[in-house]
Amino acid sequence: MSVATPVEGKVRNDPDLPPIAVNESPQMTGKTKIYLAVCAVLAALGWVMIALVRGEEVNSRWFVFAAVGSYLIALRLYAKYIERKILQPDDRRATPAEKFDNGKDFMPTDRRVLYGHHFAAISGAGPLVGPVLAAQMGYLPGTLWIIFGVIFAGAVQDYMVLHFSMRRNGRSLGQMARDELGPIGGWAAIIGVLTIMIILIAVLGVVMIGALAESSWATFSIALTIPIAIFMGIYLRFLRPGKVNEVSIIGVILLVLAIISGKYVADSSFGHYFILTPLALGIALMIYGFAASVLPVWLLLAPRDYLSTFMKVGTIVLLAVGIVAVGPTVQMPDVSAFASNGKGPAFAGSLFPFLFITIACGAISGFHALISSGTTPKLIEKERQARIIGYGGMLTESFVAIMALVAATILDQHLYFGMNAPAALTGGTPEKAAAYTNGLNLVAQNGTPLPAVDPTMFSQAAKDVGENSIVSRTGGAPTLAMGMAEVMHRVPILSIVGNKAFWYHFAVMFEALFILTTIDAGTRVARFMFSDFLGALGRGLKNEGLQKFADPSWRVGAWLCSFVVVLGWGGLLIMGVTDPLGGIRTLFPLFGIANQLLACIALCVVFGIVVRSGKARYAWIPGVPLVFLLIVTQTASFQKIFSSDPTIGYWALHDRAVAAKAAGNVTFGGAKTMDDLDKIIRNTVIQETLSVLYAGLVLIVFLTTLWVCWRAIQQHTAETAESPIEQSRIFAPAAFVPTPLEQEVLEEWKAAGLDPTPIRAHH
Amino acid sequence: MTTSDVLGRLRRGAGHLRWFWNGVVGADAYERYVAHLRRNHPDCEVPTERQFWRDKYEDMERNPKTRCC
Repeated sequence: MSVATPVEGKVRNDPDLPPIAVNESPQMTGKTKIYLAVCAVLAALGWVMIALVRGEEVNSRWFVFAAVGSYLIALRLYAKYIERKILQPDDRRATPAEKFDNGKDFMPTDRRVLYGHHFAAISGAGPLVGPVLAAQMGYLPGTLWIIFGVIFAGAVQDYMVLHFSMRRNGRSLGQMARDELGPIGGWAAIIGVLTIMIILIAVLGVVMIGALAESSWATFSIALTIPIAIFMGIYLRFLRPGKVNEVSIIGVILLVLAIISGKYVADSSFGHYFILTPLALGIALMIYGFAASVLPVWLLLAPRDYLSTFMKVGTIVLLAVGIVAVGPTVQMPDVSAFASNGKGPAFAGSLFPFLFITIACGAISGFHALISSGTTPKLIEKERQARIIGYGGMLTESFVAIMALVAATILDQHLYFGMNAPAALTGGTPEKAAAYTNGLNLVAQNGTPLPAVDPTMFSQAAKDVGENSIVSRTGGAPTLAMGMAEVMHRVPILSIVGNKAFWYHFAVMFEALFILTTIDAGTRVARFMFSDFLGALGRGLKNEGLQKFADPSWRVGAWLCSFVVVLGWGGLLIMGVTDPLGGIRTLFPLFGIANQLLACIALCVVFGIVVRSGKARYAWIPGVPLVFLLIVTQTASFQKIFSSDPTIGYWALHDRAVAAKAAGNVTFGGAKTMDDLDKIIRNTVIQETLSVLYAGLVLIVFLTTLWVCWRAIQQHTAETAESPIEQSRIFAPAAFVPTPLEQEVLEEWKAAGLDPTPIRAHH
Repeated sequence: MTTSDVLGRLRRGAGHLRWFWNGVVGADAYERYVAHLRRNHPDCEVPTERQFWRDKYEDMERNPKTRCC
């Protein structure tokens, strides 16, 4: 294998072309040292203020300092270390984008644009919801895990998967698993990815329904997004093809109008038509999901995606500016009693392992491996850019998670717990909720007990955001919306745009848009995976009927597969929203476990590649997060399966529910009727089965990885499935700002009258 | 610095922002495809913008891209 000689200088591979790569000196320049020192001071100041200084209320700006400072240091030091020791990118090699440039899905794309593109593809509702739920344990555990988790696990996974996929012509995670781990590991990985996707969609659906149920304002405005998206689709197809920004701006304006009009609809005589039960919303969502996955892409999916990208980037920037500008004070203590006693109302279980399950996206998200392989590697210009796009993109996602955590922790604690405890605990009314939170013995940051609240606090908070009630609005989305509204309506310019109620519904809309986009796209992707799977199964069994599924243009097959996929997530969704104990409480741990298990699969693939390519010395880099996540997920799965505490263990709950039914005791736990008891009995069986299935699949992948690695070490072979080297003929800087050496090379291209890279169509 | 300097800078800044944003959402797909054809396949016929977008969505129909959670 060729390794670039670490000599400073410019590299040419064609005497007629200016240099196509640079070798930077491994020595840090004075400027870099100053930059790192500034980052270190920033980070240290932030960490001291949030982790060590006690007795005073913590300002949320310190979280921004600690996070950004730590990220920049990690990007410069740890990511560079990984680059030097394992990945060894070589800019003399052409990337898949350059090799197969077809002007469409393979195409060298400017690193800054691709960074934005990659971030828009990886960020979704996950990093917004998990930290909000985890805030029940206090602000410190979540902050530590989000920041250190991303540095040593999440960003490492994304970066390495991106690099290895780029070296393999942009192959997907499933394909890489088959190539590197053999058929058993490969198949387990593919089944794992498919089933995990289904549970992810279901849980996101439950989160969304948590924000829409019993709220005519939110339901009306979200429902309007469907005709708005269809209008945009028709506009783009027939009126002005390709005018994406124009139509997106029209779309965003219509969205804002939908939010504003929602208030009047809610107050009107026909407002009650939009007050739907969770069950009705669940069924509506299933019908929508099916329709969206079989309707043409241009009509619904593509325009919704544009809208969601606009809202996503715009709102995240607004929230960041808002937090820095307003600097709200954090109300939550650093570590709450729920961190150790495991009796938290938002999710049950103690800090280890359940904090690491609840905050999945934001610290490490296995789902990203699907974007980092397949999509982004086909667009990257030069190999060395993978660091800022893969590692840097994930750091940005982590920052979003930190902001979500801040938004939850600045809320009054009574309000936070009243919103996040299931109705079985709060009783659903302001009076009972106040009695419940007053009985939680909440303490302020300095350890003094919080004064008791009056029920009017809950009714006033609901009135402020234009809702009938905010008690037990679980799922994280309403809490985040509340926190965002709290920040936004205090920012000088934004307060003119709308009051607290407007910003609350704006935030709900923003989350729902994300989730609907994920449901649309996820259902479609899962459908393709499923039909591929059936087709491959047909080839294996030599069954002609099954083989037909491999043909994506076969409409009947597409409809059938869509139907099965929707039934899969829809069943779980309905189970979640009708669960007497609160769907989020029971399903969110499964979501986290699923996502972290997917991360385990991705890290297994990466680990296998590192060992097989003869770099076992550095295999600890993906190995440490892999082992940590395996311990976390297997412990969590084990507790979920075997714990004797019925708030944690499925079997324990199942057995008690069966016993309660036999004894005729219908008021068991959150159950009120015999029907509720039957639901608990059925749901626990399904959750149990899924837990066992996921844990088993990942263990299979892990064991195959170990076997493959052991064999590679035995045989002393360094083999990989890398595609052959082709010489690159383009040049682009590795990071956002070109180094002096890169600047010189760019000048040489300019002097030769050539474009260093064909990335700019106009200009 | 004169006013026209400032205006020129602002305009360039806005131009960069527009270029960045068009790239992120993929609004420049047609322009880039045409540039690609002119550069690499000068004899190929350039599709109309309408046709290009139809083909692009047709392509998305066959190769769905996932969005993250």
